[in-house]
Amino acid sequence: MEVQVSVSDEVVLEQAQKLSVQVSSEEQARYVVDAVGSRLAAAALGLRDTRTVNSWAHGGPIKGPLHEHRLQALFRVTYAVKERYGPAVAAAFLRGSNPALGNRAPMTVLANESPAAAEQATIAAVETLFAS
Amino acid sequence: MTHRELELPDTGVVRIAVDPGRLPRSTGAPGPNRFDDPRPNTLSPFIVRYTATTARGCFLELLGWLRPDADARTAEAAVVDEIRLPFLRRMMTTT
Repeated sequence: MEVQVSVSDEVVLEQAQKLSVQVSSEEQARYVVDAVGSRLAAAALGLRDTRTVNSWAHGGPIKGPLHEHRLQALFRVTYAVKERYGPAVAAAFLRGSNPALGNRAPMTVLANESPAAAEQATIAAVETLFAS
Repeated sequence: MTHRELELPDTGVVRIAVDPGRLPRSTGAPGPNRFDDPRPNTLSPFIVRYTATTARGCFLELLGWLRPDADARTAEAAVVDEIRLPFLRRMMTTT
């Protein structure tokens, strides 16, 4: 008999936070590219082309701590929503006009704000989504 | 007016949630676009549970965050996809 275990929202959010600091940048890049596609991932990371994020996913160097932190924030948000609702919802969440972010899309906030501020705001938006 | 005094429509109300009867979690601060309790440390907190008179109203509220954002669409469309680059280069050399 197959038993389906429902993972609570708190556990998913905690896992996302832990993995965002434990998992290598290469694995994080691979995860977000697999989950939402390289084009959306690149846009959310403020990159002009998919080549850079694909290179990161294959172990290429990440130049600058801001890029690394932004990738960490994108991974954390993508992981939480994907694990809870699946990859299609994770992509829709990143693209969607979000009331918790002043009707901006999480990908816009991640790409344009400082990584620390963007991480805080987008995780708060994920928490609002989970609480609704 | 408390919830006990509130008159609900005779036809009832609709709420869409995993557990519609459960009260939402209190975060200690009003959520965005919500009428939550603005007093974080009060001894008499209140929690707001939103309902609608129709399922359509619920879905409009519930799925509002899925509306695609125009700026996000533009930013994503502007990203150069390396998979398409060889094709585009071929097109440019043949024209």
